[in-house]
Amino acid sequence: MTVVDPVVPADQPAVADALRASRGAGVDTAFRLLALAAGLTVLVILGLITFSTTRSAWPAFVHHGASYFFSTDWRPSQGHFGILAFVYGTAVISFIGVLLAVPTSIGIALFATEVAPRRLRRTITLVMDLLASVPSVVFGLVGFYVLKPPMQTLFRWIGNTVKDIPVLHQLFGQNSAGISLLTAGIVLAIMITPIVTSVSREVFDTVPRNDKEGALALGATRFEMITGVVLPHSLGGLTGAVMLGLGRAMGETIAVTLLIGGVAPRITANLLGPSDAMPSAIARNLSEASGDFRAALIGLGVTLFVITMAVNVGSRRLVDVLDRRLKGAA
Amino acid sequence: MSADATTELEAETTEDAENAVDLRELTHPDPAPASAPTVFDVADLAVYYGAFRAVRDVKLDVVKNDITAFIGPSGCGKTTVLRCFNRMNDLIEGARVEGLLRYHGVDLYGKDVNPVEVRRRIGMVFQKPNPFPKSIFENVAYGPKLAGIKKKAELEEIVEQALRDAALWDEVKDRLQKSALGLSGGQQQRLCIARAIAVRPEVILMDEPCSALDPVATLRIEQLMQELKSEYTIIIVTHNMQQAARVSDRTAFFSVDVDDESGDRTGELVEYDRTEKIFSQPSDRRTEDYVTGRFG
Amino acid sequence: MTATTVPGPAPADPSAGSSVSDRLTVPSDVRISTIKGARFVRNRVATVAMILAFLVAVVPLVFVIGNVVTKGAPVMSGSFLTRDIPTTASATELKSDCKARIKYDPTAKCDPKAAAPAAPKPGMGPAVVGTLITTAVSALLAIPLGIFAAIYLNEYGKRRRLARFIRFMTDVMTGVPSIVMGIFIYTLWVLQFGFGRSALAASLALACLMLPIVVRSSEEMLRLVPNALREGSAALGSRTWKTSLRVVLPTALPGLVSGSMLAVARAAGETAPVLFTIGAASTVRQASTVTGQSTTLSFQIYNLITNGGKLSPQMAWGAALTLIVLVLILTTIARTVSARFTMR
Repeated sequence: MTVVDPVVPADQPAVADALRASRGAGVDTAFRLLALAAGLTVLVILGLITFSTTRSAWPAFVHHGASYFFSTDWRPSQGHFGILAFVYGTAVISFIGVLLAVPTSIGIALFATEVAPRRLRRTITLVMDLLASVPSVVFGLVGFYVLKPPMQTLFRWIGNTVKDIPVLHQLFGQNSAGISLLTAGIVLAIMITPIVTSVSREVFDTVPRNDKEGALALGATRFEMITGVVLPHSLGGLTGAVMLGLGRAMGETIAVTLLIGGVAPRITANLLGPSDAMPSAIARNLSEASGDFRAALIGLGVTLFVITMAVNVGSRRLVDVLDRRLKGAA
Repeated sequence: MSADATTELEAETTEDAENAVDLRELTHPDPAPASAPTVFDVADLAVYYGAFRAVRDVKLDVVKNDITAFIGPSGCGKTTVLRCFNRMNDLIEGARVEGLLRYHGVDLYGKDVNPVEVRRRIGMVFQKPNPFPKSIFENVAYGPKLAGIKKKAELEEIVEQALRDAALWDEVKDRLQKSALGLSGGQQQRLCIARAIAVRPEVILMDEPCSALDPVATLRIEQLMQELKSEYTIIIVTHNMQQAARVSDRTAFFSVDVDDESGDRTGELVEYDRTEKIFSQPSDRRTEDYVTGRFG
Repeated sequence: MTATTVPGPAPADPSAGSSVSDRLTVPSDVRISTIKGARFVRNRVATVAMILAFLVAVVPLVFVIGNVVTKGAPVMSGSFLTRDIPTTASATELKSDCKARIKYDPTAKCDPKAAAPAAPKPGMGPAVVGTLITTAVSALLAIPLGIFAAIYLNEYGKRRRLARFIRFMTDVMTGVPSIVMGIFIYTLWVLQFGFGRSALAASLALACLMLPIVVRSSEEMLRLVPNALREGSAALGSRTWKTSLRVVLPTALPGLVSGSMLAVARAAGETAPVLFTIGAASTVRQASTVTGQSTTLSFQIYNLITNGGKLSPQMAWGAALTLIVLVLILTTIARTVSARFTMR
């Protein structure tokens, strides 16, 4: 479903083009314009998203200026709107999500492409498809009703266990709620695993069989074949997969909203403390907000939009560069 | 094909060109005497893909330091059989081997045999040159590194030796750190041979190693095989009868047997003998038809 | 036979005997291990790690599905799917109503303790109706548009600069967070145009989410149609539009259906785009609308969790089970169709 690198089909002979000039050309022109209009819709929508959301958020940007982006002071009732702590929250949970999901996904993808027998391969695809089709809100539901109580106990235990260990006691501080940056990060990891796995699988599938056999014929074990041939060959594609997962993680809303805690966020190292992220702050408040508060929340959405766009565009560029470098060295 | 052409196209050194001339006379060395040690003995070998039997009734002995050629029409299973010798068929899902394939008396498909150990001793060169997208040096050093050689000086020595043995050293010695994919097809294939012999295997399997190469590069590989046979036992699959006649000591002719009822095409070994015999007075009619060009 | 007089760096060179290379020579017996055990250990550890990675992904799936099924099934019934959503007020009302009835008529079939939780009967009717309507409307908007866009990309635009740009932006649009689509429709449709919240507004947001998915998957499918078919049709004098409609689309149809269904399944489960755009509805009658306010299953689940209430958990589980079944039906249709497609 996700195409990292659009492959353009070979041009067919211009038979159709030659015929276009003949009778009935009018219908064809109309059809062509209709199709073109449909294609342009994508651009129009993206343009409208940018315009309409920025316009609604403009008061917040103008009114608060740089402090909107660089202040951590978010007190809507006092008219203080600094979003930095939300950005931080999103960054932390996305990072946790990617950190946990990427090794798992690459492991699953390697298992599926290099190790598992064919029948098991189908099962892996099925499991990943099912996992991908679970709606975000259902993850939130299970996390909120089922996982929260044991998480609370677990976090308390972790907090107590590491309270005298430097660094760790800052990362895993005291917490009583069971919903926290870490909880949200873990759920994000589960949610982005299918997409990262499926893209990684596509990437591994493109490794030439010839190269893999070359390594094995030299007496490499399967693991050595993977590290020596498969992974180097897949570097560009895997980067794309990771960035795609990162983009998904940053924009994921509902499960995070239910599991991150939803308190005014601070920039803190404590992963076990409740916090908030950009999309969840919007989800929680936008419906009822008005005036400056509404503009500030929409501004949060614009910021999120810009960051995810940057990650997406950046990932595609990076994949191109890495692929070219690999082929250049090749 | 003249040595001059070789010089022009592949920038051979004069020394190597002389080699080529020398080797004209060596084209048909006497096959090893009957007392020469047997490397492989194969009996009643059959290969299945799932329920489909791809090859049956393979029975042959491969003699040490011989070049053994597998010839036959396409679909006769010669490559399939070759890939049994280093257990490369293990990688194909549903592939199954029946019968006996012994390497120095040990069943290669025995329970206690690790395919990695097999491939460590029995190298392979593929139809399409497949150097890794790494430098020339790293390509050749790959196997020795796996085998535990770590010191740079030692690796350099091994790489140089392997490249010299593969008659590639003079062409690449100034560009060892350049990508292997920048080499010509023929050079790439010789690099793959260098890569295979860098780990000092006993046997080299070659799966139509010249089918992707031009005639000059082909000739170069054929010469190289003659140089290598003193050290290595070589089994080559080729679709080119002339090539088999030129380079090999013994030849196995495979054919396709089409089942009248089911239409299943199964490859089988028809005849295995000294190369001259196969090409001059084959004992089986089908072999004769094939080598005289009446079939295939 | 080793007496070949090959000059130069012949492998037969006896001086090679002392070289490093010869240290690599190994005994012929393949049963003798020449490979360091650590290499096999690493290989095995890596394999085990891969299997573990897979199990790590299976666990949350089983956990989530298991919880939803076991907790949602007891609530599930035909009437749950069709009944109106009880308001908190009516829940207390019904409970006191039950007590009152027993007071006056001890034989009344009403046990306040057992019946109390069930007395305000949980229902998800409006959410079911709303989900079906918003999903269907968004599909009607996004699928034709997406397929036409794909026709442009694959049949007309091909490698032209504009087509490449649209393709790129479509990929980028796939990565736009779903909540941004919600904010977009909220700012444009609700705030700017003043149309208010409605099922249609929610459908528009969902359609924005679906569009890039439909475009890319449809283009993939159109690309699979062999060029020979197009050329054959063109050779008979058909122009591109006719070829597209009569030959290309019918051939690619199963693939198009499958890709679109996956997009629909995704939209059906989404909450974020609906949050600010759909409004509210608590009766089936209210939710039976396109232009009026409505609600969806996912939105209800979110509301039930955040607003609490006695009935909330079981209603949320019931809604989650309904939603998952709906999404699975759509996904299964997609998979079945695409399996048929690839088999041909």
